[in-house]
Order: sequence, then structure tokens, then C-alpha cells
Amino acid sequence: MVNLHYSGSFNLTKPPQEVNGALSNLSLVIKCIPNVVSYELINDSKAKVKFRVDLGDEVPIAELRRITSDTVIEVTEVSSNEIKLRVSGRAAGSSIEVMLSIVTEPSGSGSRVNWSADASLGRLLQMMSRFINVDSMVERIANDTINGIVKCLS
Amino acid sequence: MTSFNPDVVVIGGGINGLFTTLDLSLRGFRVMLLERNVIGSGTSGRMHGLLHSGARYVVTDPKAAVECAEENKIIASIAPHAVEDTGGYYVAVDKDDEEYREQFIKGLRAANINYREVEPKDALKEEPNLNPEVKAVVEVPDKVVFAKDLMFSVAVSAYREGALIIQGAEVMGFNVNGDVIDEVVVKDHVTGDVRRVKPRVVVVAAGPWTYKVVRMARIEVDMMPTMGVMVVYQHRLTRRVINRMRMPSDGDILLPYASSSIVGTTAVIVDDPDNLTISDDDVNFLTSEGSRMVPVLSSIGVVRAYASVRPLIKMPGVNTREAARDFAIIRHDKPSNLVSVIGGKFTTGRLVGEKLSDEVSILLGSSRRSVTRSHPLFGVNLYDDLRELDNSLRNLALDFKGSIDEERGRVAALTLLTSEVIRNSRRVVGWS
Repeated sequence: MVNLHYSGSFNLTKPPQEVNGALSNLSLVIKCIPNVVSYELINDSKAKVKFRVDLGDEVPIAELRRITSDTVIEVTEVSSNEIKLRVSGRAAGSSIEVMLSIVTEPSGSGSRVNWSADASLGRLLQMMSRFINVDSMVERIANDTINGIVKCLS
Repeated sequence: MTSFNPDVVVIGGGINGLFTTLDLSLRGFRVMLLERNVIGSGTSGRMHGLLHSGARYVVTDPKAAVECAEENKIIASIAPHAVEDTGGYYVAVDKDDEEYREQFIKGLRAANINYREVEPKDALKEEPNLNPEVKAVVEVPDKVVFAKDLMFSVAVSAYREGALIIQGAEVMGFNVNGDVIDEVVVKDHVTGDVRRVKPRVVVVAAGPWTYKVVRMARIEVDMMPTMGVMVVYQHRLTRRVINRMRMPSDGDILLPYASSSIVGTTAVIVDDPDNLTISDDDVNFLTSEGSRMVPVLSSIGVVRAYASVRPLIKMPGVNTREAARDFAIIRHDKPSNLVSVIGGKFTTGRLVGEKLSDEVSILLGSSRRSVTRSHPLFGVNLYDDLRELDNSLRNLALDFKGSIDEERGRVAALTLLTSEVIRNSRRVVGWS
């Protein structure tokens, strides 16, 4: 497995308690993920989600540039200021797993959200790294996803 | 041992190899095509049936779009018997699709592809099975191509120009003398013998298996096979090809193919092009995506699913990105009489043949140009022209004409003819 690590932060105008409450509400978070094809809530903390991932035009095969990933998203930990989510499933025939940690802290009248993600790509998806820069591709996808969530919560 | 010394050996009996064989034969070269299995048994015989109008690539790959648009017209002109002029609709079924519409139209204009914006209510009259919630519709000149009919027609046409078409002939190695391939070593799967052929030039057009062949000539390649799944449904649900109006992605096309419908396609990275597994998830996903365009699909029976492999190959002398967007012809430094092709689409097979043959002509010191763009293929008047067949086979084929099965008999007659061409080719070369 290839392990990739990314992190970042963003500000929201809403207070930490409200942001944390929204982020731990899986049915709300799913609707904020860009390009969701379909989803099914298994329970309050677990859902099956299919979403289209834009791998970008640098991927040489046209049909591989936008692929549909089949995942299970699970809220694994919730505390007063931190939420952990695990995204696991398959994309382009290869396994993927992303562990996402989100820490919310007060910032002025709003919140500052610090996130970090550890992504593991399966063997087959690793093959793509011989043809394109997988690291920057996954980083862009992580940023797009986080931006989608920020836009949704703003 | 054969006394037939071809100018060119073409390795691979898919659309690229067949059109290369025809093109070179029409330029006056002696050509032998070697196929390890049977004609069209690889990726070419497992495509989805679309003769691209080019519309799918106008935003992401404008060069490929222009090439497809031109080849669409050429193939329909030289092989009308293998093409159904269905036309195609691009349909927007959600807000994201609608947002793509503007750049799509701009791309169609830039690529000079004929298109017509159709009112959704008018489109629904033409295609009653279309999603009634469709938000925008653009008509383009997509067509359906019958893959085996076209490939067999090219094979017979090439044979009539003097080419030999050999099936069951797997290349096992090359004997290289200095910088030149001196001899191609072939395992004859029909007789079990090992054969040797001494061409002046070797062309590799083996699709996803190209990496295996060129490695025998000590050319380093890197490969990522990607499987595309297609699902066949019981009924023909539309008159036209129906495409999702969005960037190229998985599950974005439904084709009417004779009396069936085909939905494609997925993109799954695999280890080995010879080992493909189709999962229920693939079938369910394509049914789900297809039913966004044609809802009744979800209640129609699945007949079967099949898969083909698109190769992504990294090889010295070619830009991977350019090759996969379109196709790339590589004239290798060592061995200097080896030419190969990577990438390409079924729609551009004739163009690949022309460009490969241009490179071969340079190597062989000829200035003769390609004529395949205006050369009608065998099969246009199929029943009037079955002279390669012996009497009993000819009578069998001719009996389709005027019968209830005349249209279905076309592929049967072409199969019989191709079989005779292959048998005769083996006789000529002494491999019977």
C-alpha cells in the first residue's frame, strides 16, 4: 500500500459547537461531498456512498479520468472538538482507505478547522504512479473534497 | 519450409493490424499478418460498437475528436454494410450535465462536428424511452459499427490485394542480426510446428499485448492494462446512440446494437490483459448509470457482460499522455526495422493503418501513398461476390439472400469467407 499524508486548515464563520455538530452528522456530510452518485445510510455513523472522483486530465486514459468509487464512510470517533472518519472501499478496481481527522477550535467569532488525512492506495492504483504524479493527484482530490465540505457548511 | 518472403510481417489481427495489412498491400507490398488467436479476438472484437462522431472528446481531446469525426465519415463511406447510421443524442439529466453543455457546444463547433440542439419534448417523441426529466439534448452524427463485419471485410479485402492472413500463429521471438530483426519465430498452434519468417520490416499492432511482443526485441515497456466492461440488454431501447452530456467518465453511453442495447463502460486497472473478471458490481453500476438516461433499462433483462482492455503503455520514444489520448506510431532505433503502435480507438483503425504504413514505406524506400480512405471494402455487394468460396460454401452463403435471415446472413457469409481466406493463406505459405 502507498501511504500519503495531507493536512490543512480553514476558517468558518459558525461557532465550533455548531461546526462539530454538522461534521458528525453523516447524512449532512455526505451531501457536502462533491459528485455523489448515490448513498445509503446504514446507521447514524455509517453509510455506503458512491461518488465520482475527478482524477484529472493528466491521466492518460480518458475513461480513467473520472471514475466512480464505491465506499463505506464511517464516523469512528467523536469528542467535543475532534471527529475521526474512515473512508474505505474501491476505485478503479483497487482498494482505497482514507483516515480523516478533523479538529475544530474557536477563532474569533467563528471556528478554525484543522484537518489531516492519511490515504492508503491499493496495489493496482499504485501502478498509476508510473505514469502520473499520484501524490499531487490525491492532494488535489483531498482539497476538492474539503472545499466542498467548507462551501456546504459556510 | 515456406518460400514466401514477405516484405512486412504485421503482428496482431485487430482493427489496427488489419487496416495496416490492407494499406500496405494496396501500396504493392507483400504482407503477412500473424494473429495468435483468431481475427478480432482481442480488444477490437470486444468494443462497444460506437463509430465515434468525435463528440465525446471535443472538450478533453480535441485532436482525437477531429480524427474521429473524419474517420466516422470515411468508414461509413468505404464499408456501409458494416455501419448503421443511427445518429446520437447527448442528453443532460442533471444540473452538472447542464453546466457542461456550453463548453460541449463550443467544442463541437471548434472540431467542426455537425450538431443540432433538440428540444427535450421533441427528443422524447423521437426516443420515447429517454428519461422524461431530460434537461437538454444535442444531436451528433454518431453511428454504430458492427465490429466483426468490418474486420472480416478488411481481412478479405487485404487478401484480395495479395496479403496473407494467418490465424493461430503466435510470435515466440525475434532473431536479431546487428540492429535488424532477421527472423520472426512463430509457434503454429494449428499444427504445433515452430515456423520462421524472414520479413524486411516487422509491424507490431497487438493492442494490450504489444508490450509482450516488443519485449522479445529487448524494448523496455511499462504497462497498465485497464479493463472496460460492457453490458448487453435484451431489447433495442432506442433508435440512436444515447450519451451522457458530461466529461468522459464511466457508464456514459447506451448503444442500440442490432436488436439489443449495450451500456458501457467502466475503467478498472487489472494485472493481466489475459485474466479479466467481471463483477456483479460492474453490471449493477452500468445498469444504474444507463437508467439515468433510459429509465426502462433497470427493468430489462441482462443478456451478458463482456470486457476489453485498453492498454496504457510507456515505451521509449513516445509521450505516454499523447499516445493514450490518440495513438502513437513508434519507429524504433533498435531494431531499426521494427515499427509499433500504441493507443488508438476502433474508429481510428484505418488512420492508424495509414500512418503505420507511411512509416513502413519510408523504411522500404517507397513513395506510394495510402488509398484506403477511398477504397471500398469487400462486402458492399457481398452476395454478388463470393468467388473465394468453393461451390458448397458459396451455395450455403447465397441461400441467405432473399431469405428471412438475409441481414443476419451477412456476418455468416463473411465468416465463411474469412475462414477460406485463412485456409488459403496457409496453403500459399505452406503451413497447411
